[in-house]
Amino acid sequence: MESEDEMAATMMEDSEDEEFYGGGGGDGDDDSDPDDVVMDYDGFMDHDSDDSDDLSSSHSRSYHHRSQNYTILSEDDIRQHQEESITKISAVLSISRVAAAILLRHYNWSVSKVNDEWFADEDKVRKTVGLLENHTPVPDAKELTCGICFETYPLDRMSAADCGHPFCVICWQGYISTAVNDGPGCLMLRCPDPSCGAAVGQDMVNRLASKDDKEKYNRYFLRSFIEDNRKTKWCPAPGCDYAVDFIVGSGNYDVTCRCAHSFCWNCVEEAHRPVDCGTVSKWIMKNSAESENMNWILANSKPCPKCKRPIEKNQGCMHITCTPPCKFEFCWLCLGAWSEHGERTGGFYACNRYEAAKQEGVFDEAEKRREMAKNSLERYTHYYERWATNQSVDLFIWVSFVMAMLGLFWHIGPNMAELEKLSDKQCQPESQLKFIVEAWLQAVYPITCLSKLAGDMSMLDLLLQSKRPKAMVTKMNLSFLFLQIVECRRVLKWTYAYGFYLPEHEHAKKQFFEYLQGEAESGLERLHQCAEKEFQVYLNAEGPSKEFNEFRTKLAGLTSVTKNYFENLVRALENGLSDVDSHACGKAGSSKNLGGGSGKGRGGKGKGTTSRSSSSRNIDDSGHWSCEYCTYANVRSATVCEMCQQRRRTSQLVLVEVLTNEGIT
Amino acid sequence: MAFKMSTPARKRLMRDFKRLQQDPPAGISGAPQDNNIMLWNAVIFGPDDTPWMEVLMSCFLVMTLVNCIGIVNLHYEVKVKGSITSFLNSTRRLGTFKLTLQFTEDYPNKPPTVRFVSRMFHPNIYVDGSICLDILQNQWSPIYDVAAILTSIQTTDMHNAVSIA
Repeated sequence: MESEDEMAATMMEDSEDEEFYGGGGGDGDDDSDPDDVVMDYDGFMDHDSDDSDDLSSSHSRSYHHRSQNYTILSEDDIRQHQEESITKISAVLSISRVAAAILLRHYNWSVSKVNDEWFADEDKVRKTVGLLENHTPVPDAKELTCGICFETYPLDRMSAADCGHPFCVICWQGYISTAVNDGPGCLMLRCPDPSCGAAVGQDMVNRLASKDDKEKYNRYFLRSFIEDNRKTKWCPAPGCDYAVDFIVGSGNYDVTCRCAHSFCWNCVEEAHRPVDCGTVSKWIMKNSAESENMNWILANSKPCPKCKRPIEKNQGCMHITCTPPCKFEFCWLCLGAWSEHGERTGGFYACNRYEAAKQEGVFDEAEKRREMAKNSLERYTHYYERWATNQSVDLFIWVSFVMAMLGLFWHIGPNMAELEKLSDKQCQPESQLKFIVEAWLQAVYPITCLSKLAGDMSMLDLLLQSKRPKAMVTKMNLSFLFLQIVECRRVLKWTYAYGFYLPEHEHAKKQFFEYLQGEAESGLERLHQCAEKEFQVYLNAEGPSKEFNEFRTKLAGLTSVTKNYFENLVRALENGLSDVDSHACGKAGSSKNLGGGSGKGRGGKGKGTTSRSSSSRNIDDSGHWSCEYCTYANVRSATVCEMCQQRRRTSQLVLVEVLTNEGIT
Repeated sequence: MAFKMSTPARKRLMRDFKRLQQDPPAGISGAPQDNNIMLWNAVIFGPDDTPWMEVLMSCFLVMTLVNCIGIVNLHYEVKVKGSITSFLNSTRRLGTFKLTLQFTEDYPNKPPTVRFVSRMFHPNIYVDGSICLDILQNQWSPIYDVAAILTSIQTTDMHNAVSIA
């Protein structure tokens, strides 16, 4: 496992950000997390101590995880990086620091870009940015007239930028104040003279502006380093002051800030791996808009009888043709197929069948329409409900987790009053809980830091040496497990959004997807229940008991199984379910074909077989199963493939059981 | 006229007024209202090359020519000539435009709000009289004064401007 290798190689390598889930690296393979939990305690604790250093800020800056593609920046880090860039440019181009700052800001804080542009055409750059070559001094006279207020002042009350246009200090203050209050545009301030574009830099602002304006200006300056830079973004969590520096290109945009908030760097929404950002934004917009549309659709439209999409008729005759890919032709009045309509049923503007049926009372029009309209929404609601459930379960887990943690706190013994103060400060429940969790973890991590300093000593030994109960180890184990469950819930939640956008006609993909999702979800449910139960048991009992150990083993097993399921799911979704042949759904309607298990073996097999019915189904209703290695269609009774002599996979056998029990085949 | 002289905006406005009176640019006049220096009325005369003069002169010429040829009825010709003459006399009215300028205490760091009192038919002027001009928005500089504003409106907007009603 990746994390083991890293530990073996260098104990001193570390990540700057909080990967306390135990997750290995920047590829953010969150599904490897339970694995870390499951490993033998030595391995687990060591890995844990690797990552936990990042919370102690004194260590954090100098370590950089090898496979990490993002770093967390605190305000001091930002300032430091900013100063470094300015110094670099100032040295290379032999210009003042103020000028370097102006240049960098103009080119989005990209040092390389500044260098390229400068050495390509220095004059053009100077002109665009407003940096003059020479400093023209203010005209030498006893008194000067300010160009703004037209009053005369002695020389010491006048000031000018590099262009030499003099303005009185009072007018400068007003000018800068107006610019600062207008927003971050103040960073690009120029000389008030409209014909002159000389830039006004930070030194002039510091000299001439009032204290408040100076402070605001500096604040904008600092913010600009993150906002103007294309590689950095602020963490979207409320009250969090950290920024994330990301190296684009690894494909996975999920990052976790030091404040324990995970988000997608690309679209700054909540972390939504494995679904892509476009789908996520569509889904969120749909959630917000749907409730208002629902009523309108129910009242004003009829759903296509075949594909159930709502149709609004605004003019013309009753012969409706649904849009592709459905293309179903039907009569608007009775919603029956058009093939049965014609002159005898009343032509294009009336429908005898509908009239007759209405008189018989078969059509209670509004109700039937409503019902059919609901089908189209049902599909959406089906996915939305599950998405929302997982969303709320997420929060619920946090609640139960923290309750448990609070119990644990009494054993560790930090300051409870402080914690309560913390939770009172935050109004939102979720952030409140996260805050508490972070506080707890911070309390715990110093211990792990100590262990790291101690070198080879495993966490366990240290704890034993310090006379902490061995159970403490279990506690941390469980806590990470809980966090892992949260992570899995989130992935599951977004798979529902994915499922909603899966095209209807691709039955094979749909079934494969649903199978994977189902397995993952059931595994997760079992794991969750098991973990919660253990926690309850644990809180009541004091010391470890024999059955408790057995239970723990079972839990470890469950965790690895769930991890597998989730890994499969994520991997499949990220491949776009490409390993499913979408043409091979000939018998999709008639048999309960399940696509799961042998994703890779199916690749280009559609051509190799003669009969369509056995082309790419593991089980179909003609009594054959296709081997996933060579795709040969074996008879049902065979357990070993005739061609390649590979054993039939257990999952397939399980499915066979299911189907035979249900009497399909 | 009693003005509060204390704020820099008012001081600057007084200076602008003085300057406008001493050295008025051609075709521009403006003055603050009696009791409020922050609100000014101004008048701009259109530039001399309004096309109306040319149009009307050519009409006049045509009529004279036609008269020479003798096609047109004498009575009709007199009537038309008379109306053209009176129209020419009133062309002056076509080329004068009234505006208001509303200043704030942020002047000169912020531009005044300038609008036309009369309804104008011009692509850069809105129905309510607001003006679409860069120096009045993002290209504003504290160096511009009332004379500069009015001059730039005159040169950029008044060409081909027509006042309706």
